[in-house]
Amino acid sequence: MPDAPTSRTIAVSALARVEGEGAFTIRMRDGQVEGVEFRIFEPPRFYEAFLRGRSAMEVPDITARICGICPVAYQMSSVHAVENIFGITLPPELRALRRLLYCGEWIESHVLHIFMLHVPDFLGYESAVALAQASPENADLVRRALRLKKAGNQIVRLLGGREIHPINVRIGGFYRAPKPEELAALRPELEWGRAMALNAIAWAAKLPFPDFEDDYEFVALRHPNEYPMNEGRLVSNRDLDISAEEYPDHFEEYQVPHSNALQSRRKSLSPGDRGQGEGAYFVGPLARWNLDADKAPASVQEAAAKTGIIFPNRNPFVSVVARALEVLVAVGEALRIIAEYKPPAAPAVEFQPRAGVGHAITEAPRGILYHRYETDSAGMLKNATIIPPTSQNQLQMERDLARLAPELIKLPDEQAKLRAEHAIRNYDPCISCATHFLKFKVEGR
Amino acid sequence: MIAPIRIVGVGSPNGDDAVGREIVRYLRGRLAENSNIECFEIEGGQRLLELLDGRGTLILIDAITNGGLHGTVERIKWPDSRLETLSPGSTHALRLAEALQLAAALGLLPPETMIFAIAIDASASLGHRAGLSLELACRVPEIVREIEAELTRGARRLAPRH
Repeated sequence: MPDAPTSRTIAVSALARVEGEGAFTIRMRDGQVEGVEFRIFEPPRFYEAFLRGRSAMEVPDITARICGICPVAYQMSSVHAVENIFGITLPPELRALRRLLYCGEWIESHVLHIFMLHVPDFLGYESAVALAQASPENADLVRRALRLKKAGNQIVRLLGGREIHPINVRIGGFYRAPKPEELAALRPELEWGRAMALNAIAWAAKLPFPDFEDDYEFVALRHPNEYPMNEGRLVSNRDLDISAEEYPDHFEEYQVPHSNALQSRRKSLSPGDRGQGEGAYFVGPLARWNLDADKAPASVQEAAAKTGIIFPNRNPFVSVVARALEVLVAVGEALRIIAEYKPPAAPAVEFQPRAGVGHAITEAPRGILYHRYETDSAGMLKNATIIPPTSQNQLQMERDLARLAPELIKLPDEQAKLRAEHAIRNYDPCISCATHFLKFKVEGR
Repeated sequence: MIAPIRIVGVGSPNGDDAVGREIVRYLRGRLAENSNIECFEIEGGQRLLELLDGRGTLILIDAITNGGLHGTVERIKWPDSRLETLSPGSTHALRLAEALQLAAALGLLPPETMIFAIAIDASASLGHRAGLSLELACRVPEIVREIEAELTRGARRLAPRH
């Protein structure tokens, strides 16, 4: 009988159903994980360098181009960071419209991820197409999901000027504020969407979740009065409680040889003494729900309680339920804002550019998005720093793959690849944003 | 009720990948005011699903990098395995072939679905220039006439027989 293999390489050379170009490799020796590399080979996109020397007024339009799925997040973090420099405070009507725009993006991004990208993993289909083809019930589910997604698109189209790479956000507010009747026209689909979102929560909670709990550090914004989107302090389930300005003191980006994206980690008190994965933290819907569920509307908290799932929850596969809960948060918030809407006196407030440094963190659908800008007295950008959620989750994804590796090496390569992709998709990574997607390789088993 | 004819230009707004969108813009300018033809420009498969309701005729116009001569037109009737090569691009959004498969599974795909695939030279055409290359821009009116001829043939096919 030949000797059992002592080493194996599991490699996924192109990860499916995530945005952007990435891969991962697991190196095994004698049944032990020797190393895990989550590689992002999407070419660097140099947005921070493009911004240097441009007017701060151009920031929301340029940063919206970073992502076709979450352009609003880039607009929100950038516009708030610049407004912090210029000392701009928005009147409540404009603030509410910014939140409504974000609700639209949360709905479309979350619904896309749950039903088109992630649910096929849980149910064993290779894609949403295969899921829809399998039965009339599945086809109906996908049809309803697309309808709900469209309700989110319509919010972004109205407030953003168009669905993809919106153009209506400006420093100080918007270029154009919607008429009450334009917002009212969105209500019927959102009312239908509320019932659909409730069903989606109950349905998602019954998906089969692998046992995969770990002691994660969940990081999210926390706002005193509302479920966080645009504002709040950055908190974690450990001892973190900081303002956006303090972010660089607690987090750092660093280069790893196997990725074009910088990885982000918690700053260590004893640098140089790190094991693989140390400093990893978890951002996104599960982090937000774990830390902020008490700020969600009571009806969503009730829907969460009815699932029977215990929150806070430390299983990343449960992210799909948190994402569904957030769809209901966003639909409910959208309806509330529309019902309370009073047109602002002007679509934007007046301001004077000034020199300074501004920071902002907002909650993109897939987690916190940090922006920092420095301007001169004419409002021209001296420099820019953008740290997307996928960069922040990257190390955590590597850590999850390392934990999964002993199970993966027992599987045939194709099954191992699907299993690993499933785990990666818990984080809904957007690799283009992070330039930071997935090819898979196991070496040495 | 007249079944709608939807003509959809697919692609990025930049470079020669925008040829489908340019053709739709040109065609839109030539439509009669009471035309039952609706024109759309989209970037990828996601948006296509929102445009469809299972009725009428769908004509998609998309750039293709199949090694064919720059600007040559291939007419493909759904379903056809050659569609796999259309709009590869983002994996987060649906590829066009997947969107068509999904639309078919959901009962949203019109009975008549035709794709005009226009060969572009990937190495020379996928730049970040604002408009089309000169040689492709010169082909737009001719391709529009081919689509109009197809619509006329389609109208004859679909016309009630007396």
